[in-house]
Amino acid sequence: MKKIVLVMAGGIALLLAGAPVWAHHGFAEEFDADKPVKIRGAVVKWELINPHSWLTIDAKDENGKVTTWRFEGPPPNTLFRLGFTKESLPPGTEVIVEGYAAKDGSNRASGRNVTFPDGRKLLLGLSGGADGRPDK
Amino acid sequence: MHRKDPTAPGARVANFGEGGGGGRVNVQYEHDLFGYDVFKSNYVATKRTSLIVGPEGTIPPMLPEARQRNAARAAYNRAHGTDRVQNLNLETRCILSNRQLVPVFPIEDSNTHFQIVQGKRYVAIYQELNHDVRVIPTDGRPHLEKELRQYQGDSVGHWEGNTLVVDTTNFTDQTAFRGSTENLHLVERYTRVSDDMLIYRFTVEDPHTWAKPWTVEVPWMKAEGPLYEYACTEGNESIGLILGAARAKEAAEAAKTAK
Repeated sequence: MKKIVLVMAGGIALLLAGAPVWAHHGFAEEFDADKPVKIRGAVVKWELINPHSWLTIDAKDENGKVTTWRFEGPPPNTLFRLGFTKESLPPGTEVIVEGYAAKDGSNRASGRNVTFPDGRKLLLGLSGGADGRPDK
Repeated sequence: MHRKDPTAPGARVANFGEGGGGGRVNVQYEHDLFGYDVFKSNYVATKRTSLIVGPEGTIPPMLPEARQRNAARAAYNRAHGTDRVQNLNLETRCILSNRQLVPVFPIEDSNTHFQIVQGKRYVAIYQELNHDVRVIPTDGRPHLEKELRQYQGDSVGHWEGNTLVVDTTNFTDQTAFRGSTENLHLVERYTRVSDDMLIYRFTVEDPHTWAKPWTVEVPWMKAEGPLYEYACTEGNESIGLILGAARAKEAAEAAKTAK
């Protein structure tokens, strides 16, 4: 049996064609670009899964009350291209994560970047405009 | 591809768009922001700049009935696209990814590899995304009965010399390739022309959509393996996020009018 491994050719960038009839899933259907969040907390877990990775943070307020936030990130292969490694975010790491809150009111957000304890910052997938906000 | 610094002031940003599909799919797939090759593959050796082949070089005009049909669908979609999970698209529901739409159109995504395995009476195309296999019998059987419909249609194949010819019918109305119907008739031709290139050519016809058939040709480049496991549902919280957002918006509007 012959086995051929082939991939789609590059060089022809096309917007999605032949999209299925029903609603296409996009950022604005899930997250609110007008509700940026910035959460400082400790990593609980980091799920390196498809199609989105998920970073869970426990943030403690001044009274010691813990709020758990989850940030959607890109798939693992994209994370690694962004500079993350599997060892980047072990549980307990104190980080600041910025993102845009979910529209359903849950403590979830689309992750924008992570700031590490040493001040290093890595993108989770968004770039900011001049004032740090996404274009409409 | 020039490298852009996405953290620089005034850097170009992803276009979110409002509503269903108005902007880019998802900013976390904006690969070009990070300055690397989307497909992780060699660029097309042929440097072709047009997909469409044929004397006109364009997709034939869409019939008025198709425009009306698609406009009605789009209107319904805007009004009811988040009513229930069945109204969300097949990719969001992890039933059929956009990468698995047939015919195969160039598309930006991760995990886009195909692995083609040839046997005596079948050719199987393993699709990395979404770990599904498209099975094409080459034993001369007829198509399925017309009442039986499949998301990727029903394919039967035969060999013409070195070319695998695949005839596909029996689509559902859920995939609507470029606004066409479940009566789409697709003929694909796969010809390996060199060690690292296969020419993929397809012709589509749908008398309820286009005035005449049209043909596309895309070279497929050989890639390095291995193929990775792809799990769609595992990291996909979109259904809850989308439906939850729609319900929250409705509740907010109801509260406003109740005042």
